[in-house]
Amino acid sequence: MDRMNKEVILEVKGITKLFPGVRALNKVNFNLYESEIRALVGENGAGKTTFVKILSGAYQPDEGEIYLRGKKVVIPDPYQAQQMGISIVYQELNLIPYMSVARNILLGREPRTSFGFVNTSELIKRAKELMEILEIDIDPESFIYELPVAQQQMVAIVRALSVNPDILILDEPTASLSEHEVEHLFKVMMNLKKRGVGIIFISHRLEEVFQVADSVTVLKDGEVVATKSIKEINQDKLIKMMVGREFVNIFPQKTPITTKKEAVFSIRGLTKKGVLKNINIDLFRGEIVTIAGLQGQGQRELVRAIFGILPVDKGEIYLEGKKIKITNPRDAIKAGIGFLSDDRKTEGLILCRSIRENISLPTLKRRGVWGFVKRKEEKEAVISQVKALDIRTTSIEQEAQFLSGGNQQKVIIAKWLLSNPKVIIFDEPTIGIDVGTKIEIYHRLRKLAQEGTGILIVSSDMIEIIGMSDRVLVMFEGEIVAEIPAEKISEEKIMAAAAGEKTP
Amino acid sequence: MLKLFKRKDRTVITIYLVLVILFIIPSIISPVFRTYRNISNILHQAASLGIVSVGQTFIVLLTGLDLSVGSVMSLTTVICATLMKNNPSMIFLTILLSLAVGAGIGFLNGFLVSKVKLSPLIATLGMMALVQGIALRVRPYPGGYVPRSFGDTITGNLFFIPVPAIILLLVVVAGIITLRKTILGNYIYATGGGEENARLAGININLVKISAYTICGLIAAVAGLVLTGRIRSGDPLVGTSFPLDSITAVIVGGTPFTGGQGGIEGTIAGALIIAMLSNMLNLLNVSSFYQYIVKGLILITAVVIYSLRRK
Repeated sequence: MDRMNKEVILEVKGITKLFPGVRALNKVNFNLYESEIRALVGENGAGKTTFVKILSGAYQPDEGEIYLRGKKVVIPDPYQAQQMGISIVYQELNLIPYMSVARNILLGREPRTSFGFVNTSELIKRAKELMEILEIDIDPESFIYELPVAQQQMVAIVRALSVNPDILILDEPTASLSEHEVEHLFKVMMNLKKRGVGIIFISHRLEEVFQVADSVTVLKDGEVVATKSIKEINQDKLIKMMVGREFVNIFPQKTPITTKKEAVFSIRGLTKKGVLKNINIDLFRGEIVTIAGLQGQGQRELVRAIFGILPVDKGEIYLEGKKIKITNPRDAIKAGIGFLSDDRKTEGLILCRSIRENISLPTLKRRGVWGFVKRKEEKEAVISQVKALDIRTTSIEQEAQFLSGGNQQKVIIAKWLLSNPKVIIFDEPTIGIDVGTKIEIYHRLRKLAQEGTGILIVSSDMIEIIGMSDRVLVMFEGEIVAEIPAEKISEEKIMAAAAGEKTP
Repeated sequence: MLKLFKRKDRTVITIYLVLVILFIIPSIISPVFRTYRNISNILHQAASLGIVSVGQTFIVLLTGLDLSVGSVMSLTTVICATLMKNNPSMIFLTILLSLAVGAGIGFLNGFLVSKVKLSPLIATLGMMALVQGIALRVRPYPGGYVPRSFGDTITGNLFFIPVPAIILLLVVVAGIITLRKTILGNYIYATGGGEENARLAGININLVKISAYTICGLIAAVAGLVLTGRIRSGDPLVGTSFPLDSITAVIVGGTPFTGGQGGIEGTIAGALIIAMLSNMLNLLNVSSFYQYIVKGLILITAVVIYSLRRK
């Protein structure tokens, strides 16, 4: 990248941020140039979010200085940050669901008529113009809740850009997007880059970093490990910097089944009108099966139907050869099925309760006598899981909300492992999780499979699918359209099937 | 571990500090306040509020609220003053009947909230009016009386400790054990902390809610019995202020309206604070209208303080 004739738009010098007992950021230096796309990577808890919150004015640094185009500034609050030209798209998007796209984009800045009412036609016109610049085609009068997540994301970006910022910060914008949508997002980013906007891009998906960024800054334990041009680095080196140790293998060795195939779990003719079409799956002991496909092809619904969250029209489920009836999650758990949702906050962890309570929740009844909890037994069970999974916490009484994303996911895994399930279903097992923990989780899953637990994964992370699966099932419009055995798994094959191409 | 543990404990400790300060200052200023008679009077007043607030805590932990507790208390006094009136032999049966009626109303609340999926506000508001109506139908005006033996026992002392205070203590201990030590208690915290989460962990959340509302109704009837002993008659409107007061006690006691956190330990301090403030205002001959103003201010102030602290 040619920085010589580009202006530095943001200069951060020696920023330190202290939280009680933690140095969240330590003397961080950071420069961003015009037209630069800078990836910000690091494990969870490395300080990325804190850094972004300081730039947005949500936090004040304890030490250090911030310069915008050479001028020293103090960013007192998010509103002022926007006025100064720093715009942020948070992971949560913060859109108002029951308002139109146009109203969301120009929220707080609505054009007015001479009577002081909102000038709706002007509002829609302005919103349209803004979207056209970014080549985004969304009806400005549709409501946010009607749109798929990817389009909501685009709306959030348009809103962030409607103030003409110098600096755009994107906090994990691709987490909920399909591959195709990610490509469009990248196009939009390139478009902005041409117009001189500096972009800070936070992502856990390293392949995306190499795809779109000009340079990358690695944070670890609140310090900048390095800032490198993307050309002087490769993925292995990057991971090493993030984690601070070397990996022999991200993915554990696959273990082909040599003995007779024994189905742990089978689904026959699972159907829900308009969502799932005649789904048949056999999961053999010792193998990991992944369900792949573009976003929204019925994968989410399928696993939720298996776990009894979503009612189905017909279909049978067999566990170790025995037919079971599942009408709600309780039935599924009783039968021996565990489910890890991709939505950890509402379908995985009770944030305001302790690690102990979260882990022991599904198995509490087994540890009860006369309705009382056998606390000692409960604690021992929880501690053994915390140790086995290396959950980093000061105490099992710590509230779940204070854990990093990776450790939260480990808590959820621990919770299900305690119930000794015969089958575990993982919906996006490593979404939003740092590389180090990802690797631990991959190895753990493989070990579970080897020990005889059936493992069914839904994933949209291509590298994960290829690295982990013994077999890939591809879904398209609610149907399983392809089954790819281990030796034939490739990105091309999966994508072809995912796009609806029929394979013989 | 200690750091977080302390954070939770600190809330409870702070409330008890406020309680102690509220006790010490008037004790120094007013010779009347610190008398055995007045303190025992406060305990009598605090007992029914404290008891009903224990039940209310169960509901607020589940992110709900129970507006019908006051009507249940009124109905209990009406039932007692009608059935026991000339019939001391009916005392025991009437007590059982009152408890069953309370629990039954609580069960209906729980059913409406869980199975019918009404919002707790609507379900219990409706139940509040309905039960109030029944109480007024049975006894349109305050009246009737309860046998002397019943009234004397409930308002008496056991080893110098007022009996209502002992009942309160028993209810509190039972409540704390239920919430902290039993599976149901754990499920209540889990469901209040995240309903969908709890459901996916295999918990029968409808059963949890029905249990909690039933317990709350039952406890409201216990509070009603204590109240009956004090007023020694049936009054269809005597419970009117208890929904507000009990919710205030729970919130002041550090259980947030968002549920899943807090507990009875704090609630009791909250109830005692309210009872003591009422007593002080009474001693100062302040009109009861102003007492409502003070209670409203306490509720809002407590919520503001807690929301500031949680930032």
